[in-house]
Amino acid sequence: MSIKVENLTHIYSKDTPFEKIALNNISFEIKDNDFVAIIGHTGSGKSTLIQHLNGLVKPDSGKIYIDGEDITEKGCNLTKIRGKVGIVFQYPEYQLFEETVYKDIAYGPSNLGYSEKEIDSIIYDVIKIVGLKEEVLSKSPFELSGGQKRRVAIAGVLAMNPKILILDEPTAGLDPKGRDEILSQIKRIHEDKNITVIIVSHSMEDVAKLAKSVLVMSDGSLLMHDDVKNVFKDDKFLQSIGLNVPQISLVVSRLKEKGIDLGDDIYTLDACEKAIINYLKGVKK
Amino acid sequence: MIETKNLTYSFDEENPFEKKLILNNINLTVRDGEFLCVLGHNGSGKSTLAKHFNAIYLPSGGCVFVDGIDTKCEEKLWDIRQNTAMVFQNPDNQIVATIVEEDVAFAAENLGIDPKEIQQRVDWALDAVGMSKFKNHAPHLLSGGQKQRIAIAGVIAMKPKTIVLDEPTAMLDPKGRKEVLKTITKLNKEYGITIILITHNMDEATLADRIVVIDSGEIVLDDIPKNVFSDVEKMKSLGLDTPQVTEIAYRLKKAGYNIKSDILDVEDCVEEILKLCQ
Repeated sequence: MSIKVENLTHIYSKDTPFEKIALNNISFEIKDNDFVAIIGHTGSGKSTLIQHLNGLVKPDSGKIYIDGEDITEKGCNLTKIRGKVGIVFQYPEYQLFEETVYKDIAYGPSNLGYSEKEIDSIIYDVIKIVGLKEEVLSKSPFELSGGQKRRVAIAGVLAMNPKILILDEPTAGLDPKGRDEILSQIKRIHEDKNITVIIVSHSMEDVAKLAKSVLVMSDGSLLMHDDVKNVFKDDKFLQSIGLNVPQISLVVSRLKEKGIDLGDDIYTLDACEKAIINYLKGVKK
Repeated sequence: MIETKNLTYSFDEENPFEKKLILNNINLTVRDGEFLCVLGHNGSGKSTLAKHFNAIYLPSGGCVFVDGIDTKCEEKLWDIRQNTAMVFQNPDNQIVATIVEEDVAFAAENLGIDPKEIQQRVDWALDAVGMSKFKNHAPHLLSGGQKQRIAIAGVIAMKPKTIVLDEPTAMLDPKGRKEVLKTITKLNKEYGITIILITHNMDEATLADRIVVIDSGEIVLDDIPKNVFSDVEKMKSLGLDTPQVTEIAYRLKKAGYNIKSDILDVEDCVEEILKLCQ
C-alpha cells in the first residue's frame, strides 16, 4: 500500500508564545512494499510525522494519501485507516493493559469488528510471526520479560492485519540478541506478508542492514529521501545534522580519501568484507 | 574500592518460594579510580550485581565490601550509599524537584550537609557535568541527555568515590549518549571518580579501562577492551556484539590476511587495511 504526503506542515501550540513548527512543508511518496527508515536527531519531527500517517495527529496544512485516499479530508473513515496503518510506538511494552496476553492482542481486532472466531485464528497466527509460544497467551502481560512484552505489543498491532506497519524505535533498550531477533522478525513480516514497513531508528547499523530507502529529517524538514546507499555515502553531511553513520561507512570513506576506492554502495559488514578482499586480490595481481 | 567475595544471589520475583540462582560465586575487585564496564545480555545478572555495590541488594551467600565495609552492616548503610552512588536508565524516573539546582541538591540535603556547603557542591556538580547554564530551568523541559547529566550531578554532589551507572544511555539518542559518555569519562579522568558502567553498547564499552562480561550469573571474561572484543566468536556466543571495525578485522584474518585482531576504532582499522594494500 502506498503513502503520499504533500506539503505537510504541523505547528505545535499555534498562536501561543510556545509556537513551534514541528513539520515544515514535507512532501514525499512511499511506494507499495517499500522498507523505509526515518532517521533524524531528537526533536527533528520523526514521531510527529508518523503520527500523521494514520490520522492520530492532524496537519495544519497539506494532504496525506493512504492508498490513494486523502485521510485529511472531512468524513474520512479513520477507524478503517487505522486498521490499514498500524503504529507500534516507542517502548510499546508500557501500553499493555489487559489481564492476559490473549485479551491484549485481541483488543485491536475486536475494535475493528472482527468476530471471535476470526480473532482466535488471528491471534495464533500473529504470535507465531513474532516468535511467542502459545503458553504465554494465558499469562498476564506483566509477568513477561521486556523483550517478550515488546513482541506482544507488536503482535497486537499485527492482529489488525495492517498493510502498512510503522515502528518507532523498535529496538530501543534491547540487548544485541533481542534486537537481532526483533529486527529479523520485522524483516520476515515485510517479506512474507508484503507489508510496507516504516521504522524510526537511531541505530544506523540497523538502518543499513534493513532499509531500502531512507528519509532524513532535521528540524522539522525533510532533507533527503533516497536509497540507503546514497544516504550513507555522505557521512560528513549526516554527522553535520547530529546523526551517526555506521562504522563501516566511515572506514570506506576514509579509505577512499587515501586513494582506495571500494565502491559507493558499501554500508554493511558483508559487503565491506567482500569489497576489501576483492580489492586486495586485485592488488596482488 | 569495591570487593565481592564468593558473592551468590538467588531470588525469583514471580515466585519468592522457588529460588533461582542469579549470581553465582562472583569474585571481583574494582580498584579506586578505575573505569570498569560490565557487559552481558538481558537477564545475565549484570544489573543484579550492580545493585549489590551499594546495598540495594544483599548477598544470599558471600560478601560485598565497599571500602572495607561489609554491605550487610545495617548501621553503615548511609556511608555505603554515600560512597557508592547509582544512576539508572530512565532519566524521567530520577528527577524529584521542579528546578534543576534543587534536584541536584536533593541527595546532599538528605545527608544533612550544611546549606552553604550544599550550594557550593551543587554549583561544582553542575559545572562538572556542563549544566551550569540550566541551574534555574525546569528539569522536565530538558532533553534526555541533559536530564541524565542532572541525575549524575545529583549523585556527585554527595561526593561519592564510585558511581555505578546502569545503562544510563539506553533511552537516549546519539547526541544525548555522547554528552553522557563525555561526562562520565571526564568524572573519571579529571575528578578520579571510580566508574562502573553497565551497558549493552559495545562502542561505550571500548572507553573503559577494563571489561567484565557476565553470563548466567558468572564472570566469563575479565580483561582490557582490546582483548575482550578481539575474541569475536566468544562475544557472539554470549549474545553480545563487537564494534564493526573489530569484526571486519576478524573476518579478514579468518580469510587468511595478516591483520591484527585487536582493532577498536576506525582510524586503526583504516591504517591496518592500508598496510595490507602495500
